Amino acid sequence: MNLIISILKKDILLIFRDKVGLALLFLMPIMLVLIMTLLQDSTFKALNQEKIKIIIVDDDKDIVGQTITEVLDSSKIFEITVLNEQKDSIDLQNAKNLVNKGKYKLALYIPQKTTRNLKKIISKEIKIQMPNLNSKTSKTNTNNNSEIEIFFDPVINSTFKTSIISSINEIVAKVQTQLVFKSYTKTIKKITGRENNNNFPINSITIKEKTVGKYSNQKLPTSTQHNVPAWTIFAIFFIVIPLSGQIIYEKIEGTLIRLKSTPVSYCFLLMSKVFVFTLIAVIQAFILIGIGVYILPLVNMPMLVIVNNYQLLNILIFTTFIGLAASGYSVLIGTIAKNQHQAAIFGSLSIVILAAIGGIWVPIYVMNDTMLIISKLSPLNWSINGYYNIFLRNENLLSVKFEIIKLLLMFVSTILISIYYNLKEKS
Amino acid sequence: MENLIDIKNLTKTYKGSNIPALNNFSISINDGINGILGPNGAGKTTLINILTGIIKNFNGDIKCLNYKLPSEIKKIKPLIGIVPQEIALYQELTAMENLNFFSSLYKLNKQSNSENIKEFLQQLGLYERRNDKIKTYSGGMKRRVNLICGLLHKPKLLFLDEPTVGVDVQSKKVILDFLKNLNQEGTNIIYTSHLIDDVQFLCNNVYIIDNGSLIDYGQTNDLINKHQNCENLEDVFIKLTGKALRDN
Repeated sequence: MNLIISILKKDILLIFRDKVGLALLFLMPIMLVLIMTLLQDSTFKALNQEKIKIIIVDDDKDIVGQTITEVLDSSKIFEITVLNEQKDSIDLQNAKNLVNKGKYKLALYIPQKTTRNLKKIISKEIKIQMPNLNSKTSKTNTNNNSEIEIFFDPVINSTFKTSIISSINEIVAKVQTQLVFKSYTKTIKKITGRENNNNFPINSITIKEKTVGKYSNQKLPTSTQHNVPAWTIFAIFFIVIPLSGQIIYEKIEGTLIRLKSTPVSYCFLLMSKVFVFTLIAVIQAFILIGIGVYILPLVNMPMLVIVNNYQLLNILIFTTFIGLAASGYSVLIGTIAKNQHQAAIFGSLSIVILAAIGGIWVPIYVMNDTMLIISKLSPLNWSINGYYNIFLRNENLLSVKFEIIKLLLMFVSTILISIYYNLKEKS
Repeated sequence: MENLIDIKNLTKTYKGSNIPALNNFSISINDGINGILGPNGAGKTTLINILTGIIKNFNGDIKCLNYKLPSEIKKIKPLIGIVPQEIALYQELTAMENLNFFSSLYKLNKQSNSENIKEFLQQLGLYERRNDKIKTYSGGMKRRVNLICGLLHKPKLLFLDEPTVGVDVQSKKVILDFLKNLNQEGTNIIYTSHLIDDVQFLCNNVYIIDNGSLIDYGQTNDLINKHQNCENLEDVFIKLTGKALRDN
């Protein structure tokens, strides 16, 4: 027992006296979580909750204008300011200027007589289809088409533009359908004398959105819920720098020769390092969770949602496996690399690449099919998938059993390769 | 009486090399302070690495402290100490922390171990600075702590690889006197060095090796007397190994 305590004490002292290593282990991930959450918050808010400010210049002041305004308002995505040229002494040019300055994301212009023109077109169509009706037909062939104009903030991306245009198109189509139905109802009344005050049941087929999973009423991930797990994993795997550095230091400084000449097996000494760095991984995770729960809300960021203590226990256990995989990888790099420079460059670059392909930098759902396949090779991808299940879906450890197996296999294989390499090098 | 070390027909060739580091090497080493001399690449470090169990893959028969290598290395390890040429210490730890850690690997009695550490630190003039980090020490002080680390478990046989390299005259004298005392108290020493004066001062027996083979050996004074026109060990060494450079 004294032996174990002594070895652990040595490894812990070495970590806590390495100021650069400490900064890399604790300060870097804290900064990353804070900065990346702040940076990505607007994007996540746009997806989740923050309303998009739009301005509607309604010169129609009739059914089309009113319906578009009502439907956009009811979607709860937009914060709408409705103006019209006469009442608010604002013209279309002013509205465009406001959008250009970024005060509104878009301006929607509904020109005068849009509803009237639409009604005229419908009426004309009915008369063409029912020429025997005893009513006057306009002889003039005037173009009654109206054009609703949308002016976008130049920084708006094309996906957002497309979705707005299709939403407006959908609303206009609904209004048109209602007006066509009303006009036909009126015409039929003329023919049959029967009154029908019903509106067209336009929403008879509805789409209901539901989130799959235990906590289906849970909100979509916030920037905090994405960034805290993602950068925790990144930080855990970055133990490659201090851990491989320690192993190479022992090789270069001759400590390894002294250690190997003692009755204690080198594997035993390696396992002490693995244990200490896995412990560091767990501490890192809980510090970052603490940042997510207590610090981020202080800077107006969304709070990290931890549902219960059971979830925390699952996080602790899963993090242990991430820590083991990261430690194994670090031991391997430290064993193979010839010097600290080599280990630092290869170690950090490999982690950045594995993070990039694993969905830490860029979420995997924006990757193409090839990259999706490649991403599955990254241990950081196994880790983030597991964390998503535990953090966001509040699933139990059984749901991440394959991730745990993969991380464990990575740990065992990297340690075995390191031991084999060590023995080979000895000869 | 059994020899300290018995080596018969030892051959070691590293992977990727055609030239053996040790070639059909045979040697018997007795109690006392034994110096192993040889130019760079002669095979000294390979020999020590084999004897301390760091290299396990070789041909030949070796007995160290009456145990066979490599099969009985576990029995040998507690009986040997090693002081490598490098300062094999953790620079960020204090002298006490280093000594406590390395001694713990031999599972020693805590009380007697603490007394040993204190005694060695006092003998080598380090006790006052025992709680300072190694990185704040001078080269000579680091060498002395390096030496103590190899001695804490009171080994029967101590391997010393260039223990006085880069130290000032005072530190060197302290180290060499300490080693003489240590031997008088029963610790056998195998000492390799480029500093031939140190070997001549310290060692009872000298073994000169070159190109992986033993080329001459004997008691230090006998060896000097044996070779004509040689006034000291350095003359003998140059006579036997030549003046050609070995490190290019």
